[in-house]
Amino acid sequence: MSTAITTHPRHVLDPRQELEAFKHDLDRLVREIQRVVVGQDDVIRSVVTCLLAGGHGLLEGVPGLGKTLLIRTLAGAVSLTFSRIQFTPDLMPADIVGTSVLLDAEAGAQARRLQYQPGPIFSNIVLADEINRATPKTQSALLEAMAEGQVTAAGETRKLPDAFLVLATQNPLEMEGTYPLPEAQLDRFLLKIDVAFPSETELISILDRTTGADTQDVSPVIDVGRVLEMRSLIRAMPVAPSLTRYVVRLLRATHPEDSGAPDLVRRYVRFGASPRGAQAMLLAARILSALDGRVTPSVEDVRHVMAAALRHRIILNFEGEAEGVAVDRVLAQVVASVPVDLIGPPS
Amino acid sequence: MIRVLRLLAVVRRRERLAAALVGLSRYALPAGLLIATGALLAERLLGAALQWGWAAVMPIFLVVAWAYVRPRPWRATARRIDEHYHLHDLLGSALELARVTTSDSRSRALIEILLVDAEAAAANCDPRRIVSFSFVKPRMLDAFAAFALVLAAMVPSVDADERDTSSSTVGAHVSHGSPGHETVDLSLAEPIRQDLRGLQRGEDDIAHMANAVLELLDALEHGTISVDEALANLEALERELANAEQRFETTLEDDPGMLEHGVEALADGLRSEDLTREAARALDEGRGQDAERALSESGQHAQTSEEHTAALERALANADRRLGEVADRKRDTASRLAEAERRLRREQKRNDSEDANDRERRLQQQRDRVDELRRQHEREQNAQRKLDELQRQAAQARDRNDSAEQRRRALDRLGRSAANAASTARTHQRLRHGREAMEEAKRFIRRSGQQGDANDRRKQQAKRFSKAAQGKRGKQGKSTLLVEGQIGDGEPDMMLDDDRPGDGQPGDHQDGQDGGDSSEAAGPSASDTMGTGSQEPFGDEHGIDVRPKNLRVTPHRGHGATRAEIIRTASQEGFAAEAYRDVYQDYRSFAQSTLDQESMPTSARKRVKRYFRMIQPRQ
Repeated sequence: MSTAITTHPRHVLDPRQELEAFKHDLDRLVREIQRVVVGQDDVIRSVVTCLLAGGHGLLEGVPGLGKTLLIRTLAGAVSLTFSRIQFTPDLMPADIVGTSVLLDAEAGAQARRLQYQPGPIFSNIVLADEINRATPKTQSALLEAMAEGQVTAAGETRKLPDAFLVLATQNPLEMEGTYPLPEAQLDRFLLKIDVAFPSETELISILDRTTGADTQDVSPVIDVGRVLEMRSLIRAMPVAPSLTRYVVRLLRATHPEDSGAPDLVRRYVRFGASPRGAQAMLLAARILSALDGRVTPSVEDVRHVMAAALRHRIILNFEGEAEGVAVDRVLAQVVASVPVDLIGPPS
Repeated sequence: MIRVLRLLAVVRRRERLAAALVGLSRYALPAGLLIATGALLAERLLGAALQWGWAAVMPIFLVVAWAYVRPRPWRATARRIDEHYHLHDLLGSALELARVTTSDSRSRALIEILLVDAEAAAANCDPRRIVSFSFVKPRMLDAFAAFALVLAAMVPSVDADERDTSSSTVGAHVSHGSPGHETVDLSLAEPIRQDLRGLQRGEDDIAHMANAVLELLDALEHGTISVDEALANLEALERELANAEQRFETTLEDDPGMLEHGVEALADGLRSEDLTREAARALDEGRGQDAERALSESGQHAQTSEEHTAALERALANADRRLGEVADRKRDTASRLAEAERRLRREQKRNDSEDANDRERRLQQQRDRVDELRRQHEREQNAQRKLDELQRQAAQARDRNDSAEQRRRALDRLGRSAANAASTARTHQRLRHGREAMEEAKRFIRRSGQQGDANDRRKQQAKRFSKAAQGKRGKQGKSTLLVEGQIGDGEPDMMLDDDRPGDGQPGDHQDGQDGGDSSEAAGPSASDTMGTGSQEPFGDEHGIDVRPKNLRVTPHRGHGATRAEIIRTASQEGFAAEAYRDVYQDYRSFAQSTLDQESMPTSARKRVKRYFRMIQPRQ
């Protein structure tokens, strides 16, 4: 099945047409991914959200749920360069950011020289598979790349591609020999996406697709330019002041010292979410509303993305860890305890 | 945004109406039922007016008012609509973003789209579906309130008589009783009523008492209460009055009688000029603040012309002179105090074979007497100082050596001092008048209870009086009232011309009058209905059948060189005062019965009352 790639910029169109084109393109993108990935609609939407927000995503789920496939499919559908890094304990930072290699003198050259060989990080989409298996030293090699879109190697700073996106995966079960990500690095991820086990119908569909003769190839439907254009539109979407205030209240309520913090937060949370969490919520809510064809996000959008945006930014205290308190449960109570902020009447 | 705002307005109205309906069924209904129950019980058991039942509708007004005034943000209404129609905050965001200004053209364009979408969505929203009206289902509380109302309706009314006997509040319940008693003709009690109405003005205890006594008289006249009940109520009122007097007594620092005379003197002085007449009138009527204001205005007015200045000076000079007269009056409290202290010391030194208890009792009486005199002396001194101060301020206010501003300030101080003195004097005056009115009402009611034989008794009394006036004896040679009244004190002058300034009664007025010196100002003036028929006003002195206890007033028990001193000192022991009290009561009761049962000009009636007030024995 061949699909036309949308490459031209749309911001010259009428805003309503632009909005409709945005939705149309996103729908095409999602449908294209769904041709390969069965079910996991929320995960797909979350990954697309990361793409459009320019934020990195951390996918967590047991092996075999199609995390890697999803990311690979996304890269294929967006016509972006893709590289995969399998994180292992012996992986070194240079394996990610690249290294300088010594080249013999060629004909005409006077001496041997060092040449920088870019690592796999120099791609639009980087799949950091099982990121928690690498040592902290290697994990931290990603920090600069994720936060600033550049890497420093061999004494030289090199810029990464415009549409740079790290999609990492980790396995929550096998904790033996793993190195939990440091909080600073976790905070760099826009969303932490929980990949749930597929339903029965989805499993049947997976079996049908993967064990039969038919194979589904993914075709690119949008290019980098269009992605950047979409990002621009997302940032232009207006947000009601009361919604911004609501997001802030939610974020503050995750801090145990805040007066509006619910009981669970006070009891089990050591540190609440950072301001990046609020940015992530608002940005993800905008994208969610755009995916729905709406101009501005709503309270429901914020609530919908809140868990993914904050769950990896909240650090439980010892008591919370010992009692196995789920962060999502804490966040659910936060949502329940923070009233929707309302502004006064119009003048 | 017109459609959005219109939709919001409609939904808000429905929200308020729905809130009112819920409030009515949840709160107003049970509250109204309970209030109605209370009102019904109050009417049945306490005799309260049934009009209080209207309070049962108050919760309705309160709930409706609350529903319409409670703050309800527009944004909340918008969110309610958005939630109902799953509009994802379309209307609410439009409402907010319509006021947001942004420099980004794409954002502006997107906001425009949002507003258009909101208008389109608002057109399709039905306010009736968003806010539906409903009542709260009846609860146990509602059933309980309704049941209580039904029970209250079955409670029988309690008669007014039962209530009167069970209640201790006098006057509050006498006017709503049920007729059932013999009515009493109180047409002759109109003067008492007039006095009481005069006392009714004000907010103090006396006004309350006067109001209660008037209600009592009305109830008695209509037969709502019996004479005995009226008397019982009057006694309760009397106790209240005694308490009020006691309270006034404890707060008293100056002698109110002296202050009263001082205020009268000041008013007299100010009355001499038109400029200050208003202040004088206010002082006469006890309106201290009005007097102060009027005096201040007079001072301002006086600055406008030399003529007015002179008038003010004349008025102040008169006031100064009159105040000086009052301040210079001799008072015997100091000598009486010295005498009482001397007597106490002598009593303490005396060591006879008298019973110890009797001696202790007598000593205690002496001590009390000394204390009382000491207090009185201090008050008189304080009052004296105040009068001197008034006099000095009056002098300052007309002193031409001072500047106009200094005189004005002095006049203001005079006004303030006079206002304070008038306030104390007025309270004292009202208490005294209240006591008199109370006693008169009591006597009147008591006599009306003996209405059957009252006329006969009065006739007999009048007959005895007539005989006495002709010099005849009573039965078994006993004296009549008139003869008793002539003992010692009666002067022929006291029965005569009432317009003449009084000469005073050397025998009585020191002990028998308020402040002891009022006779000088007004003089004894008596009704000519008393004693005019007597050809021998003094009677036969040797034939008087003096009661034994009168014989105890002997010179050797009194002290002093003159007879007056002996009688006065003896009266301090209590002998003569007691005897005089009896005589006084007889005369007074006879005069009162005449006043009550015969039509008399008000001026004559007041004159009689004033006379008896002047000669009444000291408490």
